[in-house]
Amino acid sequence: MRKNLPKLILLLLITTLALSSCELFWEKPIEGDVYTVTIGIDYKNNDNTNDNLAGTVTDARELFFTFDSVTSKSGRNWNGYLLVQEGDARDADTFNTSILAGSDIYPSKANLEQVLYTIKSTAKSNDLTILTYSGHGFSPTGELILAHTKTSGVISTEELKLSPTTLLTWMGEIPGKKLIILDSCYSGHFLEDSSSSLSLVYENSINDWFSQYWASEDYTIPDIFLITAAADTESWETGVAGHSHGDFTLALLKGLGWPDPHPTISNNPTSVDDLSLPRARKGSVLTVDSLYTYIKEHQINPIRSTLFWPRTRVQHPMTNGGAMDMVLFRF
Amino acid sequence: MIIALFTLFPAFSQLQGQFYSVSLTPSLYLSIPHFEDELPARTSAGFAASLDLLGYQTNRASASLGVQLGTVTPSIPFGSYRSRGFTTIGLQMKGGWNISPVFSLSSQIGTEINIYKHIEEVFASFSFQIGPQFLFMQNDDYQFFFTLPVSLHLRKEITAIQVGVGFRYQYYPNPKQGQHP
Repeated sequence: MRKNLPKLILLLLITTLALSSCELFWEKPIEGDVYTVTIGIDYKNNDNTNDNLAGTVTDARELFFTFDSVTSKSGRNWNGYLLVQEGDARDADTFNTSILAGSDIYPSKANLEQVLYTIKSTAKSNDLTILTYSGHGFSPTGELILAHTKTSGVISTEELKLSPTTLLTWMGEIPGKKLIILDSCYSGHFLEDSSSSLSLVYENSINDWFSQYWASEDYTIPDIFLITAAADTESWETGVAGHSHGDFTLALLKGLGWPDPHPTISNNPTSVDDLSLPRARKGSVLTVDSLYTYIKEHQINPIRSTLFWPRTRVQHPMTNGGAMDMVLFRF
Repeated sequence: MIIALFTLFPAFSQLQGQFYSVSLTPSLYLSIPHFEDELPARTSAGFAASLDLLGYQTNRASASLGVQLGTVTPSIPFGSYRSRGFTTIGLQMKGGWNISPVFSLSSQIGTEINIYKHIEEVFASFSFQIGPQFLFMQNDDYQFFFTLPVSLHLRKEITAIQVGVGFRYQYYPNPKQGQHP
């Protein structure tokens, strides 16, 4: 037996070497272009002043600029669409904006669909599309509330709702990898449970974990990754440097390289060179998990409340479960 | 196979009786996906520490029950994805067969709860392990083994092969001396 031991060890080593480190010698896929759609709505052009949001438009504008910087630093081509509704204008000219990358587009449901259709017709399978939304989420089911297009009269919220199914369908039709980032109340409803893991944010037990192991539903890598500001709770805005942001987006901006401490609007960066590499990167890569973890660690509001440590304004960011994390950018 | 091993090799263990043991095993963790992925296997590093609290060694064999703690790092990024790292805690049942004065085979079955710590998601799994152990140091109440365990980590969406190199310290609180062949 002793004579065979070296052979046994050698066999183990050969097996290990044969199977390991595919990552190092497999042909690497070429990274494609990056498309970003940043949406911010302040709801000041409807009849209701109770639903005004102060930080959503600054969220969208600063994220738009930040994605330009991140994409530039990773050496990829960038196409950015900025959809903002700002102020009380509700005339036809406000609503009928052109669907052009780089210009302000009115964030109605029809315009958003048109923007995503435009991306769908040009994106390739190795491209990355990121959509961010800062605005209201409908209570308690989380539908996004887009901007209205009525020059006068009563506005029905029902017509403005964008359901998870619809958004995920529109995004799913775009070739390539997709990430949706939602800073809105109840946005965790956009996430489906993973078929291979269960979130500890929601109530479940060891029985559920083992039941899931034996359940017949197979795991596939999600076609669309999501990062949401909240699970099944509200999300909040916070003031910084004389203006407002979604608390979640403030941490997101910091993680993506926006100057820290956060500057006033008048001191905002004017060149992508003014932004640093994303602070949320791990090593040379920025992934969904590294960004998500950074946000959780840096948002101001607490992520949970316990019996012994009760907290208010709790919002727990959420992301997809399962075995795989998506690589967004390499630097 | 086991009967053949017992027939071919004289059973042997110098120390017998109840034991406690601690094992530390760094390893290479190869995730073979059951789903469509860009690679046939993704590579991570793993580290496991196990503590056997209920162990008994006879002349021929040993058996023990214990707990296992471990961690697996995220895989090397490749293409658009990397596999997530996780920490694990589990229960294990271990058996050992003494083949020569220095060489024994050990096998283990276990079940684990695993946590993707950053995203706070949990999943269950099962594992099997087999591997040679080489006794390289002992005195009247302990033994030190060098181990080469090969494990299968059975997750719902991944089967992982784990090849490790580790150490095992086995302590006998009330040792009995075994028979030399």
